[in-house]
Amino acid sequence: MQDYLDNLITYIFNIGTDRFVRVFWFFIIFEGVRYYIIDMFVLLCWKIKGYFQRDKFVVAKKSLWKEQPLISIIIPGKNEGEHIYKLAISLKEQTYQNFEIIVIDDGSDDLTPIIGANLKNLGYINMFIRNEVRGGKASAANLGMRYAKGKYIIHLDADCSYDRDAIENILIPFYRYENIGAVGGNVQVRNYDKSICTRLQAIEYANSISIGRIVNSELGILRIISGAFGAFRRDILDRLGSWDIGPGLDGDITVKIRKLGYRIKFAPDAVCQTSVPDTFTKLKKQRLRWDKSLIRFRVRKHKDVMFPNKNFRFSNFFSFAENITYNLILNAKWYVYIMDIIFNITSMIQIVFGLNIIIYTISNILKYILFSMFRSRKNAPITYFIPYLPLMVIYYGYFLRIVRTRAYLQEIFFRASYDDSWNPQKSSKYAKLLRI
Amino acid sequence: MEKNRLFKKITPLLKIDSAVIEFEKLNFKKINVNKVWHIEQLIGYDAIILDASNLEFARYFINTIRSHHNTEYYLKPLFIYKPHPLLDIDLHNMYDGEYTSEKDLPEMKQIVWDIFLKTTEIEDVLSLSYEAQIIKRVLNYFYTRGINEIYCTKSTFSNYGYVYPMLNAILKEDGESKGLDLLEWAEQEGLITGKFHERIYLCNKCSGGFLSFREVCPSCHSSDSNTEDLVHHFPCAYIGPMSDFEDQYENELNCPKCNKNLRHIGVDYDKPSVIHHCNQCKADFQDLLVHAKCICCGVDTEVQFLIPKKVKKYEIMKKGKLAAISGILASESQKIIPNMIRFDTFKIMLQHEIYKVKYYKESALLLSGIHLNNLYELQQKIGRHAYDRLIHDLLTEVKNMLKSIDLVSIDNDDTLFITVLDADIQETNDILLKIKTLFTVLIYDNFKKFEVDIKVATIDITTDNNIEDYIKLLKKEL
Ligand SMILES: [Zn+2]
Ligand SMILES: [Zn+2]
Ligand SMILES: [Zn+2]
Repeated sequence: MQDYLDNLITYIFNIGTDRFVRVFWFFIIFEGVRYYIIDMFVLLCWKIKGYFQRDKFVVAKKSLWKEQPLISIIIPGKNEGEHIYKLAISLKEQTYQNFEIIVIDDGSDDLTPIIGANLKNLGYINMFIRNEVRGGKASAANLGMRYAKGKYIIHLDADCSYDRDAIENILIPFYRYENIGAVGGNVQVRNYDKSICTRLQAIEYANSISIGRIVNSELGILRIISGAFGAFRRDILDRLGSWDIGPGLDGDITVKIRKLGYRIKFAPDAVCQTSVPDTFTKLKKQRLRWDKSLIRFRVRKHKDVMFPNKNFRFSNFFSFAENITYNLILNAKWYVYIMDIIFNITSMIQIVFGLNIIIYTISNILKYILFSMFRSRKNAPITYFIPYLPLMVIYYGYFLRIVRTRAYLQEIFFRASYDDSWNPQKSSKYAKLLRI
Repeated sequence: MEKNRLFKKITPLLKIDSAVIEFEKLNFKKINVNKVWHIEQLIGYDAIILDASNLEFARYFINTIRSHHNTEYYLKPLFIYKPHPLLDIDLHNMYDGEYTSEKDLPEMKQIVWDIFLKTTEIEDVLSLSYEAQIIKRVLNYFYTRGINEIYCTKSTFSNYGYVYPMLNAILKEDGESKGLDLLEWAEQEGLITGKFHERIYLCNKCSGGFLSFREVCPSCHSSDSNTEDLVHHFPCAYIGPMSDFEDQYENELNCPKCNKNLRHIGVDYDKPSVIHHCNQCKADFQDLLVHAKCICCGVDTEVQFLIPKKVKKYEIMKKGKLAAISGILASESQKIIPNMIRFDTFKIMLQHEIYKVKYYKESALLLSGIHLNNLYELQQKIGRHAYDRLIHDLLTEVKNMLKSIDLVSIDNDDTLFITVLDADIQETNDILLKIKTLFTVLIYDNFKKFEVDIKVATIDITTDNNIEDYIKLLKKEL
């Protein structure tokens, strides 16, 4: 061990630029540029712009309050009775109150129907519709849409909780910017202190959602609105026939809205807290489902945005290209990198891996501290998460990457998402047949 | 209380017929349709032979004499002559036999003598409660007839659909359905014992049993609504009522989202649920409320607020027969809530506490009151039955909040009385406020946001004033 450390230190002090680039090309070229330099630059621009245009924000807020449009909050779900109760009561605390709550019970087999009917009788929710037979998340949301009367639709998950001003803040972008089709809320991890697994996810969410989506939103390439918290213009959803079969319907609807030429914005101050899987096994299952949808929706269903046609828009192309590059292609490239290191730098392999972990950890810490300045609302102090940052190398670099690879392979070769029990068989069968 | 009677009353004519049959020292007075009678004119006759060919007249006559309060009339032997075929249905056991010709007279004589003998055994007790008096009349009648069972029959002539002989006739003016409570009371007293026959639901305003059940809109309570299947088109996940898919011109179903034809249920679409649309207020909903409209008084209530009652067939117990002979030993009628002290008992116990405080001077005694000012409005809405249950629940909640030595009771005016030993006023007021909040919330949440008006007060009991004075004093504060 002593020898190893000596070697490592000697290596670090003697490494030249050429050598460094040769060994860490992957980090420097892809991740360094995309996730540090561009992000940092965009965040700074965003802050500065926000400062100089703060009067526009005030005007937007005023026009929202002047109009006070009716909002339809739709909450689809199965066996969510107890959550719905808490959620409905907490929504009474929202600063913005002109909303109707529509709960769709997608074939629950527990006490949800009774709880729902009671909440309706007590006036906590406006509508409770139950499907005796499960139809899947998309159809449940669509059913809510069918009876929604609001000008904007807000899609919520029953098991999440929302900041008091969350509804107000997710609506403001519609009044702040032109041509907004949908706005995504900021999703944070509520159960971050439950286990190592949830802590790592909290860091991941902070990076990829709280920060990543500000950047994507600013670059105009935001391509997903979390199902847990999203606001949509109702007329646009009507035009699109609302949601298509999932999984991945959150991303799908966003792409469809983009294809119509509308912009998607991220509202970092519209905060929602969600519970994430607390074991790696559960997390693996969730991510396999999410990652499959990249192939199913980006690469298959919406491949047309990559090609010049009448619906072509550069921003859509860029959004897709970025997504596919950074997920699918880079994922493959990473294996090339590993092979490169294993075969070409065989003698130094242990040293290189050690150094790899050090570099990533240092950069993660730096990034975490730097970007914390841009996160308006944090669930725990920065110092709480710092001890876990070294683990992120394993979590990001290995765990998530391997899960992703497996999902891609399963979906590319077997269209595995169509067999996912997340949708009822009746819907999946049809989706597979129609290749959607 | 307005009532829509289902039968007509006949106004008696003024002519008197005096056909009388005499047989072995007994005289049978014949009463005919169209021949008028006056009830006093029946005095002195041993028995009556009623021409029952006219159903309405027969019913009127029988009900009139049987509901009379004087034993001279309501126990009088009565035979019918030329009975209408439908007569027996609701006048079962209200007459003593049929007269066809003079050859029946020896048998009738025997019946009349039996009744006379038994009638002499009957003791008339006047100082009875209202319930006891009515039940005693019923028992008297059955005793003199040697009948042991009180059977009910289905009948549209009763406003709750069933007729008990004697009881319905007596109660006509006071509301027949009260009879069920009276029978229940008599059963509790051990006079009769019942066997379940049927469960019925009664209007909580007029106790009528003729109800029209309809499914109504939960928001505006209109019954003008349409029901449609919800259709889920699998390929595009569209879901909406059947009418969204119906094509005006062609007789086929098309999906409004993807324009495809619906082909085969279970394959490309299904019907996961149904939805109702109110034509009055345009609401869409799945939870149809079931309301019952009372045909008698027109009140429209949720079925959960109807009064459930059991209709039973009763057998008269030994105690019941004795009651006919000797009068009834009835418990005093008062608001009785299980596990709670009755108000008169409470007063006695309070008096006792006051003596203790006065003589031993070691403990302080407070008397608190909680008056539920507008609770009677709720009673009108939800009916007596649900109301009694509510009072019981409220009292239980109060008991749970107090020390076990504290006494709780309620008077007939919705005022709860609580004695508090060894506590200061501040402490007591805190508890009272807690109770007040609890009641308000409980009632608000459970009874459609009914806002109950609650007053609380506490008085210090120091001197040996009369107990009634203390209660008056406290009620003034409320
Ligand atoms: Zn209605
Ligand atoms: Zn369709
Ligand atoms: Zn009625």
